Formats: sequence, C-alpha cells, structure tokens
Amino acid sequence: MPAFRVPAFLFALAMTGLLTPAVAQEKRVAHITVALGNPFVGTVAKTIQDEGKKNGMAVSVFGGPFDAALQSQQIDDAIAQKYDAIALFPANPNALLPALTRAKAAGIPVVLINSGIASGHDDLYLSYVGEDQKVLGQIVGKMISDAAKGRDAYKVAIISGTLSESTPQSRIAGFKDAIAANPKIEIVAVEDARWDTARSEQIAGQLFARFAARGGLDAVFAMADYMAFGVIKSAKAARIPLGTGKGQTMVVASNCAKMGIDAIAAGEQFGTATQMPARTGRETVATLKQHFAGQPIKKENILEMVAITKQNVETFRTDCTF
Amino acid sequence: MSPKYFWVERLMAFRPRLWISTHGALLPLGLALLLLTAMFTPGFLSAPNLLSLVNTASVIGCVAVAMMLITISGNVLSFALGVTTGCSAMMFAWLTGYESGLLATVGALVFSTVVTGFQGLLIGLFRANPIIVSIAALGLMTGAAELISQGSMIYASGSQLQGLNDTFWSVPASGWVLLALVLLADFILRFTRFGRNIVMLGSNMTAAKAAGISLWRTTVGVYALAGLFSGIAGILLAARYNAGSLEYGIGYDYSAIAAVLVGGTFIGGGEGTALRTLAGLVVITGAGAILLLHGVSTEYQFLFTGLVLLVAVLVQGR
Amino acid sequence: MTSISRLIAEPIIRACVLFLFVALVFAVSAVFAGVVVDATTMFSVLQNFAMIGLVALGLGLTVLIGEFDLSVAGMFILGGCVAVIVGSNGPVFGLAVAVLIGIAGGIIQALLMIRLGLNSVAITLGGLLTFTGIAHVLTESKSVLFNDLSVALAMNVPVLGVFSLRSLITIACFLAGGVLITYTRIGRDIVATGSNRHAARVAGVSTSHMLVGVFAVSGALAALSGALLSFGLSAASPTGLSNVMIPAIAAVILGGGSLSGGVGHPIGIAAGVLVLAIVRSGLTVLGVSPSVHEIVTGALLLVVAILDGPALGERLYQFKSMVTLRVGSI
Repeated sequence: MPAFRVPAFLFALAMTGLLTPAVAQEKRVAHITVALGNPFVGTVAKTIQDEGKKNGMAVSVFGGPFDAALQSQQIDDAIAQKYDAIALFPANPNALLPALTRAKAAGIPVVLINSGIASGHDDLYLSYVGEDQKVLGQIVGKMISDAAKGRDAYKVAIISGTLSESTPQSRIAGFKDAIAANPKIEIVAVEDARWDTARSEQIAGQLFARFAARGGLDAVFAMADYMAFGVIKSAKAARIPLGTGKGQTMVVASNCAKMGIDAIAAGEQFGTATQMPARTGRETVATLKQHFAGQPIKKENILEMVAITKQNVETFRTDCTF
Repeated sequence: MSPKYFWVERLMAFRPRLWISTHGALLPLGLALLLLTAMFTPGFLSAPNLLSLVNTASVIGCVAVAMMLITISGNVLSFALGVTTGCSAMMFAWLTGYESGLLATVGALVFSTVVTGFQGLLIGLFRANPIIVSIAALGLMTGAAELISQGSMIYASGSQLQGLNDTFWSVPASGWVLLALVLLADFILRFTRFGRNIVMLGSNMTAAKAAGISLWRTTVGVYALAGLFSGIAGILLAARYNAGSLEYGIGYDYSAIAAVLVGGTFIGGGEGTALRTLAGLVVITGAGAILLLHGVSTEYQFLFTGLVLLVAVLVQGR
Repeated sequence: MTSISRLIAEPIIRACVLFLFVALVFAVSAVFAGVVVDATTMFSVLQNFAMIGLVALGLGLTVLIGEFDLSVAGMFILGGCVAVIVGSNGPVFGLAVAVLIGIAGGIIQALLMIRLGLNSVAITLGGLLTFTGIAHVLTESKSVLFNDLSVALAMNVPVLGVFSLRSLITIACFLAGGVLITYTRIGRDIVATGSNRHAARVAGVSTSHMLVGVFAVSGALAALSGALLSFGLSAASPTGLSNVMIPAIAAVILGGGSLSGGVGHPIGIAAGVLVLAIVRSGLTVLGVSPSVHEIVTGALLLVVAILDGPALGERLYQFKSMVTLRVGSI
C-alpha cells in the first residue's frame, strides 16, 4: 500500500506541476492609481480591469486620495508580492522615483499612465501611455493665438488644476510655447482652482471683476472642461458675453468632458482637446499585452491629440462622456 | 416654566446681542475692517464678483451651519459632512433620471438626513466618540459611493430645480437658501425646546442629563438636522452643475470648521450662532476675494488666507 | 474577574487588545486566502507605521494635555518642504532646520494660546493654514525634487529584515515618549495638567510650561515626520505627499486618547497606529479593492467606536432587561 502511495503522490505532484503554468498564464497586474472618486481616474481603472480580464490579466487596483507616499508604499508591496507588471497613474512627478528605482531593481516593468515623472529617468519605466500634457496646452495656445490675430492687445487668464502636480505645469508650459510668437497676448493671471468646478466659478467671477475696468478678459483658459463649465456659469450670471469677438470672452479648456462637449455644441465654449480615459485604459492594456507576448514596445505611447471645436464636437461625444 | 408660556418667555428673553459675547467682541470690528478694505478694492462690489461669491460660498455656508450645529451640541466636529454633500449631489443627479424634481429632492434629503442621523444615534446611544464615528462614516460612504458609481460622474437628466440657478431681487436663489437656513438654525437654537436642549447638552452634559433631557434623542435630532443641511448643499451643487460626483464637497469640512471657528463658536460646545458662522464665512471668502482682486500670486494667497484666519481667531482672545 | 475588567478599562491595554485582535483577524484571513505572511509584510506594516506614527504621537501628546493640535498636518508639509530645500547642503542639516522650525511653530502657537486665552483647535487651524501657506511660498506652489536619490534609497533599505531607518526613528521616538510619560516628573505633570488644569496649578505644576513644551514637541515631531517622508520619497510638495491628518486623529483615539484630556499614553497611540497600519498593509496584501478597503476600515472604526462608547454597558443592560421583560410576559 505505501509503495503505491508514493508514486501516486509523485504523479499528483507532477500533474499539479503541469497544471500550474496553465493557471499562472494569467498575468498579475497591479494598477496603482489616485482617487477613484474622480471620474477620469475611475474610468481609466475600470477600463484597465475590464480589458485586462479579456486579455488574460488579473488586475488588482490600488488607490488613494492623490497620496504619493501611499503610492510609494503600494509599489513596494506590489514588488514584494511579485506582480508581473505595475500600471502606475503617478500622484507626483518626483516622489515615486525611489520606489520606481526599487521596482526596476526587482525586474518588475512599470507602465506610466497619463502623468509622467521627472525628466532624466526614462530608464525607470517600460512605457508611457497617455496624452502629452504639454501638447494639450499647445493645442489650446494655438486656439488662442488664432483668435488673437489682428488684435492690439489680448488678455488671457489661466484657471489651473492643482499647481503642485506635473500635469498643470506641463500644460501651462505648452500653452506659453504656443503663444510665444505673438507678444500681444498677455497672461494676466494664473490661479489655482485645484480641478474644482465650484472653485473655478468663484475665481472666474473675481477675475471678471478684476479686469472689468481694463476692458475685460479676452480669453479664459480653464484647464478642464468641468472647470470651464464653472467659468461659463459665472460669465452667464454676470452677463459677460461669450465668444471670440472683440469685447467678448472666449472660454477654452484642455481636456474634454461631457459638460465641455455640450458647451461647445451650444457655442458657449470655444474648444477643448482630446484626453479620453477609456482610450488610455485600453492602450495601457494593449501595451501590457505586447510586453507579456515579448513584442517590442513604444517607449512613449503618446495618444492622438486633436483640438475639439464646434466643427468636430459630435465625433468625440461618446469618448468624452464618462 | 410651563410649556404654555415657553414661547413667550423665550421671545421676551431675546435681546439682539448676537454680535457681542465674551468669545467674539472683536469680530464685528474685524468684519467692519474687512468691509472697508473690500470697499476700496476695485471690483469687489461689482456684480461678477459678488454673484460668484454668493453662488459658491452659499454651498459651503450650508455645510458650515451644519457643522456649527454639531459643534454647539458638544460633538466637536465631523469629517463626514463634505462627503455627505457629495453623495447627496450624486443621489439627486441619479434620481432626476425619474423625471421628478420632487422625488430627487426628497430622496437626496432623506438620504443625507438618515445617514447623518444614524451617526447621531450611535453617538447619543452609546456615547461613541463623535470624531471616530465621522471618520468611519467618511470611509463607509466614500467606499460605497465608489463601488456603486464605479467612479463615473452622474449626470442629471432634464432640468429639474433650475429655479435654483435664478436670481431673486438680484441675489441668487442659493444665497436665499443659505440665509433661510441660517435663520432657521438660529430660530431653532434660540426659540425651541429642542434647540435649548442642544445648547444645554453642549455646555454641560451632566446637567442636561439631570434636567431630564434625552441624550440620544437630542443627538439624533441635531445630527439629522446637520445631515439635512448638508443634503441641501449637495442639491444646490447638483442643480447648479447638472451633475454629481464624489469630488463635490471635497475640502468642505475644513472650510466649514474654519467658518465656525472664525465665527467664534466655542469648540467645546454650548455657545455660538449660525449668524456668527455666516460672518466667519464672509470673512474667509471675502479675504480670499480681496487677495485675488489685488492680483496677489497664488502662493501668497495661500499664505495670507492662513494669516487672515489666524488673526481672525486671535482678535477673539482676551 | 474584576481585575480583568479593570485592566480592559485601561486605555493602553484596550488599544493593545484591539491591536492583537486586528492582527489575529488578518493572520486568519491570510491563511484562508492562501497568502503568505512573511518579513516583507511586516516591513510593509512598519513602513505604514512610520508614515503616520510621529504625527499621531505629536497630536496624541497634545490630546493628553487636554488640547488638540490641528496644525500637525501643516507642519508635516512645511517640514518636508524646508528639509528638501535646505537639505541640498546636507540632509542632516535640512532635517535639523525642519525640526527647529517645528519647535518654533509649536512654541509660538502655544504662547498665543496661553496669552490670549484661546482654544487650541482655533489657533492651530490658523497654524495649519499658515504653515501650508509658507510651504506654498517657499516652493512657489510646485513639487520639489531632492536631487540625491541615494538618500531616499538608504532611508528605506530593510534593516534586520523588517525595519527601515524611517521606522526605527519612529519607534525610538515612541519609546522615548513612553519613558517620558511613565517614568519622569515632566510626564506626570503633563498628565496632571491634562486631567485637571486648575488642580495641577494648585499642586504647583507650571501648566504653561507644560503646554509650551508639549506643543514644541508636537511641532518638532510633525516636522521630523514630514522631513523623513520627504527624504524617503526624494521630494516635497506644498499640497502634501500624504494625507496624514485623518489617520493620525483616528490612531490617537483608537489608542485610547480622550478629547477631554488626561488619558492616553504613547504606547497606546503606537498600538492605535499599528491597527491602522495592519489594516492598510493587510488589505493590500489580500488584494482587496481600494473602495472595499475604505469600507472595511470604516466598519472597523465604527465597531470600535461603539464598543469603546462609555454607555455601551448601560444600553446592553437595558436591552437585556427589555428582552427578559418580554420573555417574562409571554
């Protein structure tokens, strides 16, 4: 009896050994992200989870309220638990460099999503998936410089997302590049509205009041569509004419949302730019799939960025609603 | 005091000394100084500034009055009112899908009242620590809302309650709502038995118990009222922006506490009024607006807002 | 039996019991989920402990003396920013400057509080915003990078498998705090000031000195914690690298601190922080989604709040007699 038992046990063990790789083919991916209550962030996470499942990946989501220290800890935990890859939506461009250095040392590939890290550290990640935040700023800058053609003076106010993050800084840099050729365009204020609709509305009202005596603002660049929505509310309440003409205020944003699409269609907002969470999520999974299949990967997977104005607004309605 | 003459006595006892008390004799002075500065700030008295101030500050104001009620009842503060505002906005936006403004309003208000009232029940019944209960509620609501909404924004369908975006006698409806809530809160605190119980509970729990006040009923009542006010803030937000998301209401807890403290409400409970909380809110938002109108750069805006708040607290010292 | 219930009533013991309970629940669920708990898990718990530990300790000491220092969150941010900016001349120098600023900030707030007879919550809310404002001015509202990555890597290298430099400093501070409160005259004076300020004054305790000292320590610990975190992450940000306020408050109260003062102990606070750290690391190890994570933490806090409520026994007694009454009437 014991003589029979041992080979049986060995056989079973061998079977398990054979079976295990089949099970383990499901790659484990840690998606480390920021506040899931944010619609953009939430949609990226949901898409990565759903698409990952379809492509044989088990995605675990780790989040927190824009907390870089927590993210750093989560990266360390993911390293300790030997995940096959990390998909990271960084909360801060600088604070994750040490954790990413440890991930690299442990041989775990990291895909960066939507926001980059400090320049000069390209070796710390496998690929960047998302829009180029600087180009998004440039697209808006071009809209403004087109509108400013032939004007003697052109005053723009920027209502920004949280200034200590990398995204707003990159967009402002891109915006400045695009308007540099025309010295008549002047950035008269940069205010921090922390991505908040109500705060944007309040700041916009104060900016309108501040510049009313000096001929008003020619344009307001609110960083996101839901911030521009607050600006439009404020302008409407104060009866400030919206539009690109002289004496009117032109409202532009740099990432699309349903509110912006509606406002552009209604002619209240001039334009915005494409930054679409579901696409980012799909591309992230596609990049991971290529990596797991051993295929070559683009280091900078910059998604197509297009200016959205009244002409093409309906094309983007679905992708911009989240 | 017989119940029959209770009202009369309260009315007789009423003296307009809302502004003068041991804790904030200098608040009106500070307020006057601020108004003077505001007068000489170009653009402060213009329509765009005042309208946007009223429109956005009135939402925080509702939460601040709710916070004041909790503080005055001796329960220090709550970290869950902001998230309740956000969740009520989501609830309202979701219920507008059923084409009834009334349903959406009632639904959102019932939600916020019950959720916050339940916290009051735990605090009143078991004397559970109010701050820990509020932190627990913050976690539970955030997690549940994230799971249910899957992180996406909830858009209001149709245009229910668009009247809230109109102005009446050139003041936005939200401003009137806040004013009504302030008056209601002060009326309750001053002239009703329930309000008197709240204040007594806040100033001396043992005495309140000895006087036969039901601890848990009063606590449930005050929390339910605070929840109702936060729910109204949520509805104002959702009706204004035609949407609801968990991001609505983020940071409102701290703004509300700031307004309560600058308004001179005693953090230990038992003392304070909604009108003074409103004054505190005016000081904070007014100072912010003045800084922006003078073109102060953002980093100095952060610093000066802090200093203004510090000074506003300091002038209340002896 | 009475001695056991008296022990349980002791806040420190209660916090430690809670800690053991949470650790046990985690261990059991890890076994059922087939997750290996090893040194790396312990390391992760201690890293989380280091993240909020010192802020909670500073806040806890102010709670012990009957006050409440909201400004720790602001000093945490300012300490990090100062350390990184000044630290380009050597990280230890940066750390020292940050701690000195923390001490100064604490002393100024305490003096204002005593001289003007103001409540600490109000003053320190002003402090919170002012310190954050100074951090914004120093960094021009931008995230700052500390160029020497090797410091960050050294800060987080495992020592003896489970510790890191950050967690060792945190543990050392807790031990020092524990010795101070239990074995020194100053510690007894702090507790006396917290329990009954008037009586303490009558008994000859200089309560003002105690208050100034505790706020200086609280400021120093917050600044130290922010500086250590910033060096550990090689960066600083005026909007904060971590949301420490709410976890720190939760940890202090879980650790047996009472808002009426005079109750609490550094060891209890450490147990409170460890409870949150275990929940955080544990749920990450178990792969629970962040939304469920929030719910579990919230539910745990709610249960603890109810069990901790002084009126629970009374209510249970009422409930029991109500049930007996009903059963009796049938």
